[in-house]
Amino acid sequence: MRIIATYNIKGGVGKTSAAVNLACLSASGGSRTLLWDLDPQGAASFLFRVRPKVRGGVKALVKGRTLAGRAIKGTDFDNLDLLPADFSYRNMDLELDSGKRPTRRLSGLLNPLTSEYDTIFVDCPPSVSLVSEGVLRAADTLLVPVVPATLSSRTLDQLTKFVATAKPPRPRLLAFFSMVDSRRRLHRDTIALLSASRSDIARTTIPAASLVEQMGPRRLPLLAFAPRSPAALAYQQLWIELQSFPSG
Amino acid sequence: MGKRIVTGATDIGNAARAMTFFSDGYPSAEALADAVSPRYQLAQDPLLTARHQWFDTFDWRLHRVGLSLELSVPEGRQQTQFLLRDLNGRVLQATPGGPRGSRRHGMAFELGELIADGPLKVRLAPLVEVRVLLQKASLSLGSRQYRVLDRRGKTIARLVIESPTDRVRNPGLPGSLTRLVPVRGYAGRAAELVPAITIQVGNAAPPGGWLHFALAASSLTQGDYSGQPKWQLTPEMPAPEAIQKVLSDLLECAVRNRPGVVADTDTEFLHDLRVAVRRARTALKLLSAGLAPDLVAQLQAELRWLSDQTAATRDLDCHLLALTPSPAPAADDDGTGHLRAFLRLRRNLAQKQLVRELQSDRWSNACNLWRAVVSAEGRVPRSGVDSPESLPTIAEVAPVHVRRAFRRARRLGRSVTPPSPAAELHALRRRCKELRYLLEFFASLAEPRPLRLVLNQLKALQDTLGAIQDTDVQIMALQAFAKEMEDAGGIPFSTFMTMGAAVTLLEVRQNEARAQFVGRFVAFSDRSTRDQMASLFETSPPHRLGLL
Repeated sequence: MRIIATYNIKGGVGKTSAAVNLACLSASGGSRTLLWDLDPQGAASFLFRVRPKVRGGVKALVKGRTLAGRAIKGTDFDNLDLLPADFSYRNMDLELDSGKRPTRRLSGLLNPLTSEYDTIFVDCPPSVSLVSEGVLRAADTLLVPVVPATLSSRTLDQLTKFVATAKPPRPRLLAFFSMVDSRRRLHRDTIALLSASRSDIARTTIPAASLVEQMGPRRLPLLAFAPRSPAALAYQQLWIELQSFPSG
Repeated sequence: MGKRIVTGATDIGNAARAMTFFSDGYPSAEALADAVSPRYQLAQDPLLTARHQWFDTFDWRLHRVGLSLELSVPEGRQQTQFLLRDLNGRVLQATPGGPRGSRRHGMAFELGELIADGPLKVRLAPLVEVRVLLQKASLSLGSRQYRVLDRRGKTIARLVIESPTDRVRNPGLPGSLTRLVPVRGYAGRAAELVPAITIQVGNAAPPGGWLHFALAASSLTQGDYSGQPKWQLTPEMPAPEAIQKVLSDLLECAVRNRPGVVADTDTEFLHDLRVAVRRARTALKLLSAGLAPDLVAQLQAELRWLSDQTAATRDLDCHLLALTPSPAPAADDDGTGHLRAFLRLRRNLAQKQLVRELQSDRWSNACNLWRAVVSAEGRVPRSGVDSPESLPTIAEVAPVHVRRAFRRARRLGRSVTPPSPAAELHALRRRCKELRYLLEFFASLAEPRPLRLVLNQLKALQDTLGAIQDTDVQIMALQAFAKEMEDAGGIPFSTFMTMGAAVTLLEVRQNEARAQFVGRFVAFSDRSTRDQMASLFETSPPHRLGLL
């Protein structure tokens, strides 16, 4: 069983798109897959047409009154289930902090599900918080989408430091370039520079594509309506790369 | 809508269950839309035709834990996939892929030949172990899926309607089978649809769905397997008649396993055939009083011949099963590839010879002789004054034989010590097997609790004796194979190193088993077991002893 968290301090970098499409690829390959939409905005839940609601909210979930397994909803895709978002997740930090060993709580919530799933994706909210620390403890792989821009290097450095200073067990970090416009020199240069200087960057890049934006209005993963598009093929390539990437 | 054929229970309370209905007809899209309206709408997917094959081990290991493994091979460009379902039809795991080349003998595959590395294989491996997966049934089905959508367009359930593509050839099958598959988290809402769908579609189908119907069409049943007979002898049965019943069931077992041995689909068929023959030999050796001696002597000779014919293949099967599975001889990572190839070659030759014998007139004659022994012809002709009442009953005979076999085993065991030659331990093992078979023949006449306790001690001793003898045989065989392989040449040094290491490991195991022997034998022969043995038939009520 492997837990992969899509995470970045910044928002709007393609975390949810990556989580949704990679989870679909995992499921279509025969792995029993769960996607936990941990972001209170509930974008992944929206894409799968699942109501972003967990009975009792985050409090019941964190305190164990609502079992994670009971909150899971099946998606329209074989082998792929979703643990939906809830708007109360915005208070997850407070709920975790009010209990013992707050950074271990998220792993504790996922533990009963490990025999039921082969792969669990966690789509994280964009923040540095107790929730993030819990995710670092629970995940085997931290998948970080990075938009190639001037501050990308700095963001990645911050994240690397954040992971390195987290309490073990720590995940292995794998960054990948997202929303890449290969016509733009800045993107090309940034990718070349960072790829040359870091070993934790995937070879695959995900192109900026209007089809990826179409996931919202269509409420479908890209692979469901444009499986042969360059972006979908890029996700497939990224999934192949991710499968051979060692876990933390 | 066609006639509804069979009724069955529909459990709509279980959140995880799929609900399956069947009918002689085929439900129309309008009828289904009516059933789910007005709260839900149906979205229709394209019609697919696929060949469905169901796999399980010869002894239904997947079925026994509530699973069915289905290979769906669609027409056209759709992807072939394996579906692991529970017996209510819910897909637990769907994995793309198909067999990677069939084995030479029909639709039987080792797990690795059928399913690629991945989560499904990981899940099945501990269930299947060394057994092969056999195709149990196959059907061509047309399938149409309707997604039941709520007002958000979210699928809350699927209605899958399947029908045989060629019902003329399969007249025993229902016209259609409709599966309502709730999506996880929406079972309550899907269950609300059941009454309306039942009205439109038909009645609840038995567990297993199409597999059940396909097997039923061939007069087969899921899970219908028993390695060896379980005898139900009545105490008042005349002893010769009871022994004939035992022998008759063993004949049926041997005949039933023969096609599997000839087709070479799973090594266990040969094992079961051999055990049936061995038991029959024990029955003839110890219990043949009252049976025609000349026929018994002839059958004993024929069963000895049959044991001899089957020995080589079974020994090589055991050697191969003892090696860790490897996909191909070329994959010699662990140094066993050449040994495995060597064994396979020899095993194939032995198997060919065995098949020839099992298809020979001698096999047929042996079976005819066996039938004669269990028929009226097989009884000792008695004078007219003898009536069935004058013959000893099996309740009178069984205790005598069981206690005698126990005494023999104890007497022999007392002279055996851990360093005794393997032959002496082997002789004790044979005595123990005879006792075990007698206890199994007469289990229905014995008190359950003492029987269980005696069998526990006996099994433990047999395990130890088996480990000693098996490791001894394996060591000698490996040494003989090494010599032959060396003479043949072309074998890398690493293979001999591996074989040497295996011999060392087997010697360690044998020493462990030998060290265990004394404790096991003491437990088997101590006062407690003797008391249990004494009470095995003692408390039988008079009617069970056939004395009333």
